[in-house]
Amino acid sequence: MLINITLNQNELEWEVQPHQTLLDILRNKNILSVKNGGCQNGECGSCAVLLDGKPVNSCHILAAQVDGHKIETIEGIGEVLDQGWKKTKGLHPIQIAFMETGAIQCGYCTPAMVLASKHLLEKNNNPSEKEVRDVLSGILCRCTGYTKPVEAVLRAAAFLRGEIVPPIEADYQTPDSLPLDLSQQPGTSPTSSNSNLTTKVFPKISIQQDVKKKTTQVGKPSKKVDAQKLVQGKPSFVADFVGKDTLVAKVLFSPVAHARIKHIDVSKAKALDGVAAVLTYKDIPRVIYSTAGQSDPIPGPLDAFSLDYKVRFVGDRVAFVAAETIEIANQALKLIEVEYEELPTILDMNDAMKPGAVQIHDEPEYVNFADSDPKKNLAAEIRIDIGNVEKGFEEADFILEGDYEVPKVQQAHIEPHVVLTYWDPDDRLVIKSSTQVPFHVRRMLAPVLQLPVRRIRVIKPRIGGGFGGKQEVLVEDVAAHLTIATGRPVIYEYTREDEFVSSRSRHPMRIHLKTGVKNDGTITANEMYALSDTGAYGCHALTVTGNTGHKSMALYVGEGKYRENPNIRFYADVVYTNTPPSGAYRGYGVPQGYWAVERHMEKIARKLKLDSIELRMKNAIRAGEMHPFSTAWSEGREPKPEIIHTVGLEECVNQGKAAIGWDQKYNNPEWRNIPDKPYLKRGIGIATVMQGTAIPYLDMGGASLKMNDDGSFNLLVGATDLGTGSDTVLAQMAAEVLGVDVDDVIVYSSDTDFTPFDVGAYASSTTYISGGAVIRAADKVARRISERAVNMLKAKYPSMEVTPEEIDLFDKKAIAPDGSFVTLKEIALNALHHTDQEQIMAVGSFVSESSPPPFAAQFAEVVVDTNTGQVRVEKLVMAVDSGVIVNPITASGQIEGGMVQALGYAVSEEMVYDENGNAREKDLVDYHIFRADEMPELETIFVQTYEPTHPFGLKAVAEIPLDGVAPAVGNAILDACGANVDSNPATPERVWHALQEK
Amino acid sequence: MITDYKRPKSLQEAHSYINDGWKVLGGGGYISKHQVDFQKVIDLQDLGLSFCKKEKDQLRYGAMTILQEMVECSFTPLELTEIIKKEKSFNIRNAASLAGTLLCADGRSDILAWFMCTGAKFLVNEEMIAIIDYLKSGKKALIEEIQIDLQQTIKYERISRTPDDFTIVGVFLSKNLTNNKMTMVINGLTEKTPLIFKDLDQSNILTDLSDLLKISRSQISTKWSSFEYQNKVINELVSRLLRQF
Repeated sequence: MLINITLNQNELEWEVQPHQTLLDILRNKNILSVKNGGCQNGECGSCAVLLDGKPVNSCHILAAQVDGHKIETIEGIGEVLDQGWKKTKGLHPIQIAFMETGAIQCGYCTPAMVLASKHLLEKNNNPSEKEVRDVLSGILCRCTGYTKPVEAVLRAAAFLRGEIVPPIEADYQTPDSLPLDLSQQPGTSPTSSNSNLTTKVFPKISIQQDVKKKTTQVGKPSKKVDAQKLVQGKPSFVADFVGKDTLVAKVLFSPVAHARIKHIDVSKAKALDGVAAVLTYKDIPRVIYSTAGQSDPIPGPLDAFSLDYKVRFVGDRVAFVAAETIEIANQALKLIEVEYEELPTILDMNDAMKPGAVQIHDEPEYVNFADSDPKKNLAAEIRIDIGNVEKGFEEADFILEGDYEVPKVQQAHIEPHVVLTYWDPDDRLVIKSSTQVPFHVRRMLAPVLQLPVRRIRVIKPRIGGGFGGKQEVLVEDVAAHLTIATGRPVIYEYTREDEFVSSRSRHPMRIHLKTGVKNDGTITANEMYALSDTGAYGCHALTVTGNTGHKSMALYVGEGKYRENPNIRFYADVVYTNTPPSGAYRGYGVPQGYWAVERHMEKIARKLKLDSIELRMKNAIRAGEMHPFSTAWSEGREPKPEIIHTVGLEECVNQGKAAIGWDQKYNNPEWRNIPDKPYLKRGIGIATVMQGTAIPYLDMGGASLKMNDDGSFNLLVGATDLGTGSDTVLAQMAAEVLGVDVDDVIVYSSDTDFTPFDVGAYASSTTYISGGAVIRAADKVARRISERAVNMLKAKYPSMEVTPEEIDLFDKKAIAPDGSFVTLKEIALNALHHTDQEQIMAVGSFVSESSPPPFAAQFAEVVVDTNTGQVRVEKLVMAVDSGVIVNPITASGQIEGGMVQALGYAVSEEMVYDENGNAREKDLVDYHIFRADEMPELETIFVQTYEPTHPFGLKAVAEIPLDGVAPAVGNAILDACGANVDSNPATPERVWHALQEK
Repeated sequence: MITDYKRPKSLQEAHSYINDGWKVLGGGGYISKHQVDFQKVIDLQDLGLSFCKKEKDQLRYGAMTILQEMVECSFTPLELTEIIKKEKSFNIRNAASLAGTLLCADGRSDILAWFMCTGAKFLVNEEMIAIIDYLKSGKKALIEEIQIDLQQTIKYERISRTPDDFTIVGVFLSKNLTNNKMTMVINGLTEKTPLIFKDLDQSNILTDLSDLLKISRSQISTKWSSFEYQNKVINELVSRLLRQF
């Protein structure tokens, strides 16, 4: 049928099929800003368009319905002003505001948010925050926590009202003056403007330690280097690069939790018109590997095959299909006949090691790592003893034991796992993947595909969120096998349901804690046992669970002689079950540990009638002390001692207390009670936490830097920006060293053919490790520039005496002490064209000998309905010591978004399975993630220390916000009503049960 | 899969399609995602069935009125506006029709519970049918409008994990101002349609509650909360609501 529409002011006539959705048609017509991967079920909003000016989800409307209507997409909203000789009308003020305020992280939902904002502001250019949040409620964002998108809309509204709004960086434009005195709270004192607007996108920063050098780029709220393309909805994500001849892949997933495939018949599926290939375990090489994207050697068992004759969970792979269309592929799946010989199942982790339990991994190819033992269903075993725990318990006045439980939860990145594979003209396999670990993908898949590494090229375009989920080599092999089988390009993209039933998720754990304490609060010994459920495969089994103890049990070392020689024990068994595999999820085992440790500390404080904050500070690790685990454990490698140089925890506590009004609220009955609602009680809670920054002696990042004719630079990094802004902070560091603007540094990441190696984006390593590599490369380039500058200056001023060491690179110039200078452009032209021609470029790499921990104090304020158990979180404050903050906007965006993910862990998110191993949560309705219109108040504070192991004094920021929210909420519930919730999330029924047990 | 799509220009034409087995496409949200069950669909967007009117003690919504239009309509009761906003995010509210929303709602829906509790009726073939009766009948007729009697007071309480999350346990109570009888709707417990109890005496509701839940037990799911919790919390919510009447 023909439909007539007006698309971005162009009247068009399109042939459509009655079954096609508007989303299908728009993507087919190359309107790629409309995202097709978020859910395709009307839940996430990333496919939104304006239909007659109103935002609607294009996946939820038939194309036929829009006949006669007007459609707007981001392509019609605005574009970059300067396009060479052509000038456009420029970007829309909303697009500009989104770029300025840091409202864009991964950018997958950005076009939809801009469109929704446009709808609002055309109706009402002076909206309240509540109205903004209501309009944004239709678009789920897993990155930002919505704070900055809301600020962007309010800022754009001021523009559209005709106000002259202050520049976003008004309080930050103080070159050469860092450290900035931010006690005046940036953003609150606009310079020349006629607007009352206050754009609250900057965190408070409390300077704890002075930085060692003045900076012009580091510490500045630089716009994200990729914001411009994302705000225009330019093709950036894997699914945007699909050619017309590309086959669509689908996987037949197991409907049973544990079985051998007795018989599989794919003949009917193969015979279906439009099916290009159907693959089973019989068709591809049987190569055992691990899907965990980690360095060589993989620190875990090898226990997975691309396809196997056995399935180990509902959602495990049975067969691959490639077809001309998704409909044909889905139809083909239904035609595959499988006879399963069902086996006993293990669905509860407690049953995994019981005598007589069925062995989930009985394949002869299984390769152990460390203490894994498939006969015991044991993927990993950890036994760490520091000091003498028994003696510590003997010396304690009081011992508290407790059991805690944490659930399996999903990363829920809005862009699903997606990969596109094809042969290039040189018969090399190209894998274009939304992956956090492109170099690991290449190395790990080479044997699986039986290709040498040199014949595989992995390209990582933009990633639409990862949060650890894309540290897994999860979908790349499917498309690659099918490309090998058919010779054709293949796209494979998970559906939202696939993400829930067949992806990786956070390890659920049952944790027992035993702590010995003196009456004065000194911890004499601390012991944790964690039973961790790795699901059907052992990906990240050892390392995630090791991190649980390594980070959460390292914070409280004791006082006096116990501080000098802490007594800590961490034992863990990581067991296989017939549930979807666990894996990497932002925080990487640490949120699990802190749920137990911080709930436990609160109980100790209350039992001993001690101030809970004083108890924490008394026992917390301090600057100059050794990380207690550093001499005991290192993920299966030889441990080496690490000194912790910077600890801003006490100041974090002080700042956080002030921000949340701790002293006014804690133990204040007047505040706790709510007039006329005696069943509602307010409560306030704290958790203090530490994380890590990369994996010492292992994580390596590389960077290369090349100077261009105009004095700009190409920065090539293997690091992968998942939306965190790491490309931007790397550019800031390079710009700082080279004395140029961030705009002069063109960042490209990453492509295994062109960019240097990097382990990838995980373990909070990018800013620190990849940043270290960038600085090294930049230092080399800067040195060469300085040398050439000396030669040029001497040629110009023969009497001048100057050495390269005396040259200062600043403001795009190489400046001698007497003020004479040559510009970088002159140096570039000289180097490339005039004298002793050379390409000024360098490669740097960096591996750290330490993992300097960031620290944080997390505060939460809740209201509990004491008769129903319903909890509402009203406010979250997080004060974080991440060392020097390279970019306050992107860093605070990390904290805000992280806190909101952690808030789901605290109150709502969990994945539950029935007695047959079927998932209860399969979509974003049952697995609810927070919407813009239901958010508590969020506040971020940075306590700036100077970490001496990094040239710019920084530490990690990305993962720590995941650690403290849940226990702080749990402690606030205890404070409100005396209920101890020991299993998260604190659902109404769990809290209600805890209230009954008081 | 949908093979045919038509936009009738009159109610008469729409009726004839329905008599021929065509299905009504509301906002499109449900049918576009459940195409296996549908082949021929009619789109009622040209029939003028999108309106919000108040006449005496009646509130009338056209069947194709989209939820956001209801939110913006000054006649819409405030609590219904709040309920719609929580249950349906902005983009969905801009596409979903009221009739489609009610027909596709499950037992967790606050919107459906609210309409059931008010005793709202569908106008179908010039006949008024209570929503609950229509849903139970399994009819596939053309709904033209939804009417609500405003001569009543309605209060509700709901329990959820987050403010906008689906309802785990919800109780809606309405009191007919002409006969003082109460209607109670409980949502969150059932897979398909919320539980409804009509013609209740205010003074007996709490004492009868346990029995009412027992007789409904076969319909109640414990997927999201235990029976013990449901019982206790419903009791609490009903007590709170009764204090408001």
